[in-house]
Amino acid sequence: MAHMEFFIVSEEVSVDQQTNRLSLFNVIEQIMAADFPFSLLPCVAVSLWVAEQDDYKIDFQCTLRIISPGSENREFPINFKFLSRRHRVIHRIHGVPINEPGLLRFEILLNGQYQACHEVDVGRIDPANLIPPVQDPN
Amino acid sequence: MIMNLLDSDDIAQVVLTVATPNALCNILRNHKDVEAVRRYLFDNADDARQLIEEYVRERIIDLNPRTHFQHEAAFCALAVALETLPMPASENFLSELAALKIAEMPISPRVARLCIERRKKLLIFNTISQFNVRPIPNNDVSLHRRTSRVLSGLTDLDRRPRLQTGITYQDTLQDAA
Repeated sequence: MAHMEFFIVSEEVSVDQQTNRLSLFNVIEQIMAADFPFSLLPCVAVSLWVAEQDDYKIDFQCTLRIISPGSENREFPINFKFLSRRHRVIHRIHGVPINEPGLLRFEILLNGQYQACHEVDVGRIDPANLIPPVQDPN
Repeated sequence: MIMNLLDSDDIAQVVLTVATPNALCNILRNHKDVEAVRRYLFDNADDARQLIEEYVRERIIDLNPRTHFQHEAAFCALAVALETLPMPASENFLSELAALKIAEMPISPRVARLCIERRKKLLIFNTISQFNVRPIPNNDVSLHRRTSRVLSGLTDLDRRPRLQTGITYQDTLQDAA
C-alpha cells in the first residue's frame, strides 16, 4: 500500500513547469481574527505519496477532510493513479468557513484511511492589535 | 553551442557499436557530453524548448527516404539527455520520437521508448484539483479585508519597519562606484 512522504497546508504553492520543483508559500500555522465567522483565505494542501510495487494501475482516492471549529466537517476527494513512483496530490480550497476560535484541523486520508493531519490554531484578537497596513513611503 | 556536443564522433561510435537500446541507454547516461547537455538544459530550463527545437530542426532536414539518418546517434544522445528532465519540451521530444516507425531511424525511437519508461519511474507526477466552498452569507467585503490582515506566526520582527527589498547586483555595483 502506498505511503505518505509529507503533508502540509499553505496559502499558496507553485510547481515550476520547467523543473517540476515544488515551492510552498506561507505555511499556515496560526490564524488570529477579529471577527467571526469568516471565510478562510484560499489555502492549498499538498501531500506526496510514494507507491509500493503493487500500487501501479490501482485507482487511489486521496481525501482532504477539514474540521473547522463550530462548523460541519467537509471532505474533498481526489482520485489518482500512480504513473510514477512518487505522486503529488494538491488540493486547492477556497472559502472554508470558520465560525469560532478553536482548532482548525486538516486531515488527509488515503482510500478512507487516516494518514496525517495539519493543525492550525484559530484565535480571536482585538482589532487594535492588528498590524496596520504598510504605509507607502511615497 | 553546447548542444553540438551530441554530434561528437565518440557518441556516434558508441551508438554504432552497441547492439541493444538498453545497453546504449546505460552507456549514454554516463557519457560526459550527455551529462553536460542535460545539466545545461536544466540550468537554462526557460530556453530549453527553443534549444531543443532548433537542434532538431537543423538536423531533421538531412532525413532522406531510404537512407540511414546520419544524425540518429545524436538523437539517441538527446533522448537520453532529456530522460530525467521534467520540462514539457523533453516530454514532447521523447513522445514524438518514440512514436516514429521508419526504417531510416531504427534505433532512436526504441531508445526514446526506454527513456519514457524510466522517466515515468523517476519523475514526480502531480494531481491538482480545486474546490470552492459556499461562502458564508453574512461574509461581507469589509470582513474579508479584516481577515486578510490576520496575523499568522506574529513575531517581534514582524512589527519592525519593513526593509526595502528588490536590490539588484546592478544597484550594489552602482552604490559601490
